[in-house]
Amino acid sequence: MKVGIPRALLYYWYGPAWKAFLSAAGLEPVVSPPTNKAIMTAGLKAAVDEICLPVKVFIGHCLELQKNCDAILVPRLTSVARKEYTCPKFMGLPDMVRRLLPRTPVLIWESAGSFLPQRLWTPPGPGLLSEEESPDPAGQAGTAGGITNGNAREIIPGITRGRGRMKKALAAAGKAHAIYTGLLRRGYLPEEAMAIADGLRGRPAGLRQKTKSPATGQDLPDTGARVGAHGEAKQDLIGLYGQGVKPDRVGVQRHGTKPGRVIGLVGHPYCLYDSFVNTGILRFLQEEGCRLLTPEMLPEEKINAALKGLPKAIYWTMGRLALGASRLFRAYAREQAGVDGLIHVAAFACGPEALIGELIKRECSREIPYLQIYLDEHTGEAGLHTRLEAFLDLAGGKERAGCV
Amino acid sequence: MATGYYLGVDVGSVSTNLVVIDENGYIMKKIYLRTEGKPILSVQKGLDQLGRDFKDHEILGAGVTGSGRKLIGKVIGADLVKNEITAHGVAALHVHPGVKTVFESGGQDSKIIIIREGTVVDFAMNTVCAAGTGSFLDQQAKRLNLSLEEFGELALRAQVPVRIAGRCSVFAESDMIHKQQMGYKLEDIVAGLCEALMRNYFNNVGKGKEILPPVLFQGGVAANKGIKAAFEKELGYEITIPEHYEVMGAWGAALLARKAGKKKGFRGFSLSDREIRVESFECPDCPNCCEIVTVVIDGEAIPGWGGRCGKWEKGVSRATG
Amino acid sequence: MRLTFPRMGQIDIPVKTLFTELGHEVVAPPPVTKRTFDLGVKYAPEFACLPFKMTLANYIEAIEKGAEAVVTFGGAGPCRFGYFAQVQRRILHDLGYDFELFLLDPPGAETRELLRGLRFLFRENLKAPGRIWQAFRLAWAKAVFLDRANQLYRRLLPRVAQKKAAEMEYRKFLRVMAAERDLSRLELVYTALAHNLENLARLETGRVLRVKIVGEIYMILESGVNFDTENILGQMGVEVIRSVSMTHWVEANLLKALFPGHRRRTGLLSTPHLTSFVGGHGRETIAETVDAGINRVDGVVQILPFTCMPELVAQSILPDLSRRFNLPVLSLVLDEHSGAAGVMTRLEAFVDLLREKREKDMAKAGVGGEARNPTGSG
Repeated sequence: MKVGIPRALLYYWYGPAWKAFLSAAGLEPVVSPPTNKAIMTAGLKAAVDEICLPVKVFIGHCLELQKNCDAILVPRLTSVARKEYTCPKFMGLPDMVRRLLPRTPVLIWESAGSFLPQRLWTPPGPGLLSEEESPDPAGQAGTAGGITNGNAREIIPGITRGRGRMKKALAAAGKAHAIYTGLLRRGYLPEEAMAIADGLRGRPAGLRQKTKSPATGQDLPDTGARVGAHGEAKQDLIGLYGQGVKPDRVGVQRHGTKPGRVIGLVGHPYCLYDSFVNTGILRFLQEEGCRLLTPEMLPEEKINAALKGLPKAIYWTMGRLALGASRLFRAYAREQAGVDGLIHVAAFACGPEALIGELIKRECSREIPYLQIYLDEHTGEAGLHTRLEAFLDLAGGKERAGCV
Repeated sequence: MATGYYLGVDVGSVSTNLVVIDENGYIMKKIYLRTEGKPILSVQKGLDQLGRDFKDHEILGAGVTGSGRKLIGKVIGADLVKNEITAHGVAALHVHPGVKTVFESGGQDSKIIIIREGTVVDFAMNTVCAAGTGSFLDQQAKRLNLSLEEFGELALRAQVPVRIAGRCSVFAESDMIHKQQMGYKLEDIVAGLCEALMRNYFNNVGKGKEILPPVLFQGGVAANKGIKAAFEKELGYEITIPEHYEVMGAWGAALLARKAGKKKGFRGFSLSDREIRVESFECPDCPNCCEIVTVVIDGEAIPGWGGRCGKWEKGVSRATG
Repeated sequence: MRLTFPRMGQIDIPVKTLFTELGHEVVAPPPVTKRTFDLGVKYAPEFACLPFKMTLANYIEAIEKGAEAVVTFGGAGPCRFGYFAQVQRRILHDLGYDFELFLLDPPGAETRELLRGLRFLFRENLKAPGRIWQAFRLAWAKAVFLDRANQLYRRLLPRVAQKKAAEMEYRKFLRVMAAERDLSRLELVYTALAHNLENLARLETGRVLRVKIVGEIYMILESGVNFDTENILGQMGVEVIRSVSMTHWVEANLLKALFPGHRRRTGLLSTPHLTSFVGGHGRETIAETVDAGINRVDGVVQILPFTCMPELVAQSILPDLSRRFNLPVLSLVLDEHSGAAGVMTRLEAFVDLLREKREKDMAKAGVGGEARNPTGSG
């Protein structure tokens, strides 16, 4: 049985965990292809006009997956950390999506407090809002409580809590997540980290050991990019690239080849890592010889330490990471420790980013070369790259003066 | 020659249209004028032209619609002031009783009206900027040195329409210039623009609406064959452009005035010779700071409007306040 | 220290009363005007929602009038409202405005801040809990009567002939209510209004069209930003109903534990269309629309600020409810670029649509419209 995983939104955080979970549960995970024009257009057509682009893209991926999947995994990640939230739209995601999928049931991965599911269930999807159902809405609402877990059992045999299979699947998800985040922390971008994790599934011992000991050191150099660039893990990676991943497309190779600028990037993972949505900002920067640091590469303790003294804790996980990472990058820039510029990538009309972006701008723009990019479906490559080039000139001024 | 007629006026941001219909609803005369930011003047011009033919006839009722309906309604003494969505729906139903969907694209905004069994059941208006509407097309046609007819004809000749970003008119224009500089053929660019406007229409105005044939396409933009072709390409069937597509709003207003019955509040065609002034000011009497508008015809003030408390509607003049 | 607070509809009346009774000097922000819009748009981030922009401008205007401290509510997410104050404080400090911020977070969020805020508010009366109690009672009673009067006004406005007179009566009531300090006289003030409104000449209307307003609370209650939608509908002869109100907000958000009924109602009505809390009033919007469908209200108007996250989730789902209950729904997405003309046109067309639909439904049902077709919901 094929269960689709949309390559959108928090896939860039939890994709490997979802895949591992479904595999261990005896299902066949199918990840949608990287965002392309057709997917985006389908999403734009189906979604409410005022909603942000990433959600439209997510809907596009679901519509793509329904063509050849028996069910689609739709996460409802209310929160992935204590006392925090992801985004209101993520909480309504399953309800927004399932009404657009008349034939394919959605499997809701519902979690609060941690990314692991507290509940996996399927609402009575197809036919929910069709003519056949009982015309008495009050009765409908009354029985709704009984939906829980009902159909989920049909999709994943034996998936109820406590049973052996569920336990096994959850453990697999946890393990895959640990390996993946370990790789991210070592400075790999999601695309690379997923390739490595996939390639290593057969030989877990080698890498798992390394991921268990995240690189240490003083301040910035420990944060992965540089250590990762020279570390042994990179050798594994190069081996893996023999299996079809083009090295040029993934810029890590360039780490260490020439001393380029180091650019800190902050933003929600689906803005940073969906190269179709952001018109390939990361690749462009790498081709310009930049080394990239993203919030996922920084140790979370440091991010939290950087946020000490905030009068009220930020209750959006991604917003907290963005502001914390920005403050760290600012500190590194202050100490001449090697961050040359800060780019904030956000989706047009993103709710939390409107507020957090304002704080980042006010806190950082005077101390570090800073660029804010808003993405929507009309973002043009040409205009964006012009701005990035100009920004790099700004961020590299110091270094160039030194070279001459 | 004692038959009575009804007058309909549609005061839009770009064009001002007037029609006179007979008691059966047929259009006797229609006038299409540019508003050019002076609604009163253009209505006066239109009344002047109509007056030549109809000054000896009785106008049994006058209806006004369009974004300037409130002001013009006061000025001409209309019996009925109606929003343009309803007016367009009424006119569409009059020409085509079985119509299910109406596209309307005018100067500053575009609308979709969904009709089932002869009743308007749903509608939407554009919520983003003017990139999808008539004034933007006008502007671009002017920039390319084309008349609107040439513009439409040219679009039909395109083979590979260029993709143009369409949400914001400023960006769409710079994108077009960019594509021109890259050497794309003019017809492909023009067709690309038509498709961008069409996409914009379906993604914004038409989103989530059940679009069923028969579809009527009305409003000034309907004259553009390129846009019509782009709509048809997307929908996969033909859409109809009514004969009087450019004055449907005014026609609707006239039909509604006819339905409302004889009232005769109309001040007459001679209005075109009188001096009409509009004054607006912020009322200083309370913290609401309402913007009050008053109209003065030949020195005689008509009660103002715009206030929340109602005293201006009673005809308090500014001098005493 | 002179206090100010954010404005939302008539909330300034009970809040001002509360603070005054607690012994503080209060500078209420002026009502929303063009200048409020200009200030908010100028200094707030572009994609912040209208409530953020307007409350920011409220503070600026109040500080200009001499306020030295801002008391506001917070929240624990995920709606942006809970983080408004933090960003607004930063913006205002960067602009050089000097003031102190007291944030009343609901219990469970920032308890330290809440205690600091309460200590400040009660500092004149720490030894006299009786006075604190009196102040709260008076403010709450005002809020209750204001909501009740508002409801009465909404019901009667479409039915009376002299709408302007009704409006004047209502405004007079608001003025008296704002000034009244005697708890026992509040009821008299209310009955006077009720009496005066009931005595106005009525129109021969038959069954009046009923429209329910749902959506984001600030946009619904603040007539300065929603182009006075309720009043416009009332003048057009439409009865406006809504469940969102000042007292409802306090009960459902600040006193959640004491009033669990609101949450249960929302949960029951919104399932299975929206199966999770989504912050703000997103789930309430769905629940109340379902309620409107069940109770055969003629139409629903959803009012939301541009970029409002919870309401966008609701807006995505509303078309299904509209189809299911055969219930026309109009979503008004408002921001500083919205024009009164556009809103007016949409509302007028919507009311035309409802009128025509009802005539048709009545014709279908047969006689006079009294008999309703119970299987007509399809």
